[in-house]
Amino acid sequence: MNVERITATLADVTKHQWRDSRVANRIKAAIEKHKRDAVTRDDQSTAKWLWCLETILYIQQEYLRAFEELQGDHYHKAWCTLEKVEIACGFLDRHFHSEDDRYKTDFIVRHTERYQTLYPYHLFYSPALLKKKVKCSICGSIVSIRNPCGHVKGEIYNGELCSRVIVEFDVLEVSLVTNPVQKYSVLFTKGNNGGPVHHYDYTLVHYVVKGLRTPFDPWDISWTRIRHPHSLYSHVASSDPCPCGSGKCYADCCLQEEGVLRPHARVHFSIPPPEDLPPFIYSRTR
Amino acid sequence: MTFSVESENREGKIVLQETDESLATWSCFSGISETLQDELRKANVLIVPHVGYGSREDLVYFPRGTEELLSSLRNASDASLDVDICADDSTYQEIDLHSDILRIAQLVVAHFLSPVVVDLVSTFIKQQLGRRFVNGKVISTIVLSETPTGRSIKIRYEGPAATYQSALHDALESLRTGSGSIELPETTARDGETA
Repeated sequence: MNVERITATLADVTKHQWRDSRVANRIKAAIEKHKRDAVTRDDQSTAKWLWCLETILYIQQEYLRAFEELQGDHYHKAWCTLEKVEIACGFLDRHFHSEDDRYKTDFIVRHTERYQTLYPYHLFYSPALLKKKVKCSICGSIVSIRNPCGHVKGEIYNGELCSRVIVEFDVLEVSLVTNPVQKYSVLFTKGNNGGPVHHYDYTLVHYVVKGLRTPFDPWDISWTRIRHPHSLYSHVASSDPCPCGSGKCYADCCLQEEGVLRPHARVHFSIPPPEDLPPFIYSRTR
Repeated sequence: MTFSVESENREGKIVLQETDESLATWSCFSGISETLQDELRKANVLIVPHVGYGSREDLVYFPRGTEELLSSLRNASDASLDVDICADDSTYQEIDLHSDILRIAQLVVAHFLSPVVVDLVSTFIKQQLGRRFVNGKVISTIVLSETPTGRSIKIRYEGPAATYQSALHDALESLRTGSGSIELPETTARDGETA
């Protein structure tokens, strides 16, 4: 498979034929072969382009995997897969830009972020690491601040991404944060069997995924706040805290209004969703 | 009376304060060798460490990305810059905080270079955040060493990456004119957000 054929196949991602792993493996093997040849010729520009194609293939595959996981209601698994997509897109961002988005990477970036906003995860573990010794992934030397090896983190050398490998560190603390740099560390309570308890409400993610016919149907979401009928909050006593989250007593807050002021999500499907998609009212603290 | 001005809005905060820190005080920082101290005295832009983290009051560290910041400032085409870092290889260590805020290492800068350094740091922020620049947050501290009034001023900014450059230039202008007031610019509302 030559490079033109590889790029044409990657541009055909909307047909999502390489969820068939044989096709994906063929493309991957072809990219690796061309990259080895380019490195042998010391053709750094071609090797870098092939790294881009390799990363695009990875992003497409993982995005399609995440969509399958969402369809199968494996929400936390899909969340982690989407995080892999986000990280890989961040690496690619510096080296690749396409005006016509022919490989759908811009689409994937936008929609990955949108899927993330649907999730009820708002609190994460965050370790603070004191990095004492760090290695360059390209030359293997210990990073020296005064005499650097010359390899720049995030650049591509011989078709490989230059990164830093932590070889000696202390964990200073573990914090709870709302905006982690990596989103894998979702908080779960521990069940009797020692495993995590999935106590989160994934209704909104489920609703959006059921409204999509393919992973590449465009959709968007906008958030507002509207007043929801008091009948939805009949379990809340007038002396309880107001369900709007103001911190005031219900009686002194929204109970005096026509409804409770709560977040409201409006989902826009560019391709009409399946007719059997039920109407949906959504309300939660966001 | 000690000089101090601050401005805050719903997105961020900028504080200008008089400080005892300067290029001179940092170039004889106790944690480095005398040979290195001689080197640092030649610098007009110094990347300096944070001292103390939580209960570890003596911990000396730099934030993640300091290696790239040093490289970025040194590669800048401005010949008037002599950039160095207040650390040697045996003591250099970084803290990775994992919260999605870009923390820039503290800079101590000869005051006349501050506009150039602000622009270089802004470029660095854009490079680091890539497409996250629009919604990204940044924390940065720059000390203007020995301004014409004889005092050093520390500018601490915590807020949107998108308004960093304009906020810092406004602060520098306010110091230059002695207006004594600053106003933090606001970003436009993000897509999909409504009041």
